[in-house]
Amino acid sequence: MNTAAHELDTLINRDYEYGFESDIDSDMAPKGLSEETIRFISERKQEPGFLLEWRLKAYRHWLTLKSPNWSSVHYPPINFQDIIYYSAPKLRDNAPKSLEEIDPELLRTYDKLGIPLKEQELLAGVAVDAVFDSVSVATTFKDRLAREGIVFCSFSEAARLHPELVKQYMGSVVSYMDNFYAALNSAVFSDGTFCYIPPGVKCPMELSTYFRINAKNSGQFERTLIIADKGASVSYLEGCTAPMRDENQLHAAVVELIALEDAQIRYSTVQNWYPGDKDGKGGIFNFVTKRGDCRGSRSRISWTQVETGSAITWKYPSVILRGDDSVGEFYSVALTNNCQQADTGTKMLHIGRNTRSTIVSKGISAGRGQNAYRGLVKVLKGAENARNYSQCDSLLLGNRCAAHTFPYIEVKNPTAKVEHEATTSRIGEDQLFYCMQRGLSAEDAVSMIVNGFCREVFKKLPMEFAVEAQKLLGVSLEGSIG
Amino acid sequence: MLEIRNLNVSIGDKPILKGIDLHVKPGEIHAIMGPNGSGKSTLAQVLAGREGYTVTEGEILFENKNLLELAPELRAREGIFLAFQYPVEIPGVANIYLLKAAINARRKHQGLPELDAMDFLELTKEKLRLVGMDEALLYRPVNEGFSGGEKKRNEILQMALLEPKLALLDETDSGLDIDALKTVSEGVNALKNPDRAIILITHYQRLLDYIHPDRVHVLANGRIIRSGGPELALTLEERGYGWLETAEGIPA
Amino acid sequence: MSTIHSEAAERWLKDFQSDFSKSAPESSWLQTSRRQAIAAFSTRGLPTTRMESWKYTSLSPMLATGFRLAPQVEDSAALPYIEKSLPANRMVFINGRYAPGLSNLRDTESLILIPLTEAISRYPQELEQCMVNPHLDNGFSALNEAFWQDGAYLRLAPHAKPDSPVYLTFVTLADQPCVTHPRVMLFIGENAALTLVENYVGKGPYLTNTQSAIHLEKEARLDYLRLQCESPAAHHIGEVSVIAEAGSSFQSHSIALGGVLARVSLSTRLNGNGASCKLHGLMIGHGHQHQDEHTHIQHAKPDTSSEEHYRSILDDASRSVFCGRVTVEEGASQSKAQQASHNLLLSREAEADTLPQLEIFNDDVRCSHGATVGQLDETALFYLKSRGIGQGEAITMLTRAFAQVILDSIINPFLQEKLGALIGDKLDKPQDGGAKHVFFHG
Repeated sequence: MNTAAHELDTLINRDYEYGFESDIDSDMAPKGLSEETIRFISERKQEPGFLLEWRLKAYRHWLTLKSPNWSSVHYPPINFQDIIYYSAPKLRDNAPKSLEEIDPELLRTYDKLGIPLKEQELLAGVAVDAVFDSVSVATTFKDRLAREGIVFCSFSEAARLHPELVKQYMGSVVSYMDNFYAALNSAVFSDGTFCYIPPGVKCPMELSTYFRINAKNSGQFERTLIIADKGASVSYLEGCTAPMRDENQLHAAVVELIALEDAQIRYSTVQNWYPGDKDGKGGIFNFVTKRGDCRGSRSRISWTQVETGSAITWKYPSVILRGDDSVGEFYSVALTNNCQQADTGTKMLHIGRNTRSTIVSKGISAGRGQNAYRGLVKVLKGAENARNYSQCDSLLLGNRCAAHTFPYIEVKNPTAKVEHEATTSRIGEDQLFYCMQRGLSAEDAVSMIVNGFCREVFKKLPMEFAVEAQKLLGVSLEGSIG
Repeated sequence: MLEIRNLNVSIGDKPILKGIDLHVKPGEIHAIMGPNGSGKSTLAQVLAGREGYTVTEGEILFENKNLLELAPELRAREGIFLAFQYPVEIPGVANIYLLKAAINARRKHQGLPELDAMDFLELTKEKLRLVGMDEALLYRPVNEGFSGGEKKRNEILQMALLEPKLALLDETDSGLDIDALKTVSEGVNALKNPDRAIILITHYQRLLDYIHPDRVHVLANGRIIRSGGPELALTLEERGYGWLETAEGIPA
Repeated sequence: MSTIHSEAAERWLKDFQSDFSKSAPESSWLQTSRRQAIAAFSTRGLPTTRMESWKYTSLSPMLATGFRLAPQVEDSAALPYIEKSLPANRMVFINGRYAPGLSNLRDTESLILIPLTEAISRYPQELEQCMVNPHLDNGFSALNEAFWQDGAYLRLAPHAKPDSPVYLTFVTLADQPCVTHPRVMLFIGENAALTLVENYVGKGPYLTNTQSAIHLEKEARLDYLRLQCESPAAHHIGEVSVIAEAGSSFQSHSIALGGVLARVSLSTRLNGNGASCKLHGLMIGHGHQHQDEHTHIQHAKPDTSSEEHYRSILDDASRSVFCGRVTVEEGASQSKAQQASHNLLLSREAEADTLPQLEIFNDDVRCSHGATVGQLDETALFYLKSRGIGQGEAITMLTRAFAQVILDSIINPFLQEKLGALIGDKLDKPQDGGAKHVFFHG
């Protein structure tokens, strides 16, 4: 083994930094899934009747489905009766009136995550809707946003205060019948984020939510719904971490984005759920359905994701390009180290005329990591002059990892132009040596080259996120060169 | 400063260098000349610590330290700089980023504080003028899409910034037109100083019209077969390598 | 499996079994092999679009047809479908049976080219080894194993390099829907080299369900041209499996012009250090033609390299499917793989689906693929028009040029020229089926 390989091995063995557990009383539903569980959740959340009905329909549909097995990831069967579907921190009063009222332990947890709410409120100008387990515990900057007419709140709150919006848009992009995990989520989702930007409003700040799975054996099933009305625009950031546990935990979220005429939504994710230990024990199963609908003409939806965590990641943030001249984008960095598996990519569905999509996917496999890009570009008959460009690059670090590329291209319109390119390579020995000859350590050289490899994607992230993503990549890569 | 004693190097089972002795003092400029395949580049690579070469015999001392024990990045931080014959392209990594990382790695090693962004930029701009390089190239990915001349200038720029004690210029003249050769040479000449040694590795004499060596060595078939003053290079230019090799009884 | 599939599978099996007659008594191992295949077919059935590898090719319309095993017909009936002057080294099969009168066999020490039935009596042990316990991927290969009647057996001795190509022509003449199950077995000895043409033609509604197995010994070389010119009413299912040993090189051109529905699966295993392959393909579709080409290249050993280049040209309501899978196994370091798929849509109703896939289990590799779907280049079209060339002619020129890229890599100049003419015809006069598409038609 050469020196570089050595240093990388040391790097790999670094522990997960965010693996602490908060000691907070939780109000939990009993284990298992039944109509009673769903009624329990709905009741706790004081939901309107239509929501309970919808949940039950989704549950009944879910019962008819089998868990999918078509992707290239492997995992033991999940016992859905062994999961706690509702877990909320017990609060001193009913709800916190301000940050001061929040359980100090909870705030410390956020501190450890590097997102002290107060600091963020004061310094970063970011409105944070923090989701701790299943209930939204603090929403900042609400007043400021309210002045613009922007609704930014927990899903439960939206269901109570804006039932007409929820009723109109929920499930309109990802139906409860969409797939196994979307059906499950629709039945049991406990909370999440709701955001509505009224016509013509440019959201004055980046909106952000940090999710965190804390209670043992609890699955997290959040649901996010973002609507940008005509001419509105919003940028939304999502970051995730979870504590270390030996058991696997399930995270099955649903995200729906709706962009009406001339609206723009930018959705960025940095996903750093616990990936399991280096032998593959524990870690999050991240099975997520994310889809955006460019419903209006000239609308634009852009997904940017940096996926470094989770034992298994399985998600395909997609865009339905329904409106004429609408634009869909997908920028992704997925890193798998140790025993992690990722099967991720996107779907671009061109329906409207002059629709355009861009896909840039960077996969990095290290250790025994398995990384697959799976993407669909579909141009329907009416999509005159549709354009797609896809670029999928894989970087392999070490000789026990694997990288796969599975693009699906379906074109039914002759005026379309679809281009796909993919490469697979490793870090060149000459590149490493060149950097080391300039005085960089092997570790820094690798990290620099990998960051360079991902640059096109990082460029798409909001500044603070890009910095975090780069750091995260360095940490996740530790010990992985061969 | 640099002491090479009986250096024998092979790649796999194939001996490339067969007993090199070389002594370089601070402030000196040495030229190592020789035909293709004589082992010139191997010598440069071994000095910089490239893997894939086996030192079967001999030693290299740099400021009385055993160079062969040092990892490549430590050699770099100790002050050895290699201007690559084929500068490597690194997609996505901005040139300026690599420069900054390299400078600060060196400074840290020397116990100096890291340069702040402003000082660094100022310094870089000053050195850019020295090598006649377009500032825009700083923000492009390292060597990616650079012309041959731009790549070589970039190497000299790095050298100017890193201020090595010993600079190895591996075929820096190759692929340059006469104007580029002039600017690159001027850059190198500006970096001459009494504490810095420079080893020029070249196939042709023409670089030596611009950078004047103190000593010239001819490398053939893994050995230094002749050493002399600057006049040796001129004789070589006139008569080719053939006469030397024949004279030494080595088939050309 | 859907009901229609299982019903068709049952009916096919029953009919084929009752139609099947042997020309001569068969040895017990061969009977066993056929029985195993029937059992395998009963379990596997026919592929459905629910299977990932058949997602884009639906057999449902075809399954409504009640195919019977093809009956024997007079050799003379096949004459319009084969060229007048017969090149050397040629075998012709009509409705799955060997036609000696139309063939010109070479049976020498260096090149053995004989019908498979004869090979079985001549080399029973060797063929028993090849044919017993076959690896049956799907229902079609099982059907072929169970009901094949004849085929070609070719063995090229080490170091032999015959000058002229070998031609295998399979003609099917159908008044009623019928099916043939031809087989081809090729063994290319160490450091031997050969050019082989496999050609499928016919008339009427039928199904060709064919299998070719190719083995290249060390340093061997094969140029393999597969020309599918079936009748416009025909279905074609073809499987080609290649094993390439160390240092050998396999080059193929799979040209798909005929049939209403055709599917070719070509799998190449680079089984020894330094083995290489270059796979080329051209699909041309008109009317409601559906052309499906699946390839799988397995890099199993170090220093192997593969290049792949497939193109499709689609007019009317035709459709092409290209799925190119490249696997680089763990031990296959220093492997190189390159793949390209380019698709040209000439009509509003046409559809191209392309799936270039990389599965990489080794870090020391260089792999890339690219795919495009689109129309002719506007700039090129404009350029031609600005030089006074009419719209129609300009389109024809550029379309031919698009196809020519694939033909350019055919090494044999005679074959390249003939194929160029044939493809020109197909692009110009697509509606002329059958006889027009005969290879080397006088």
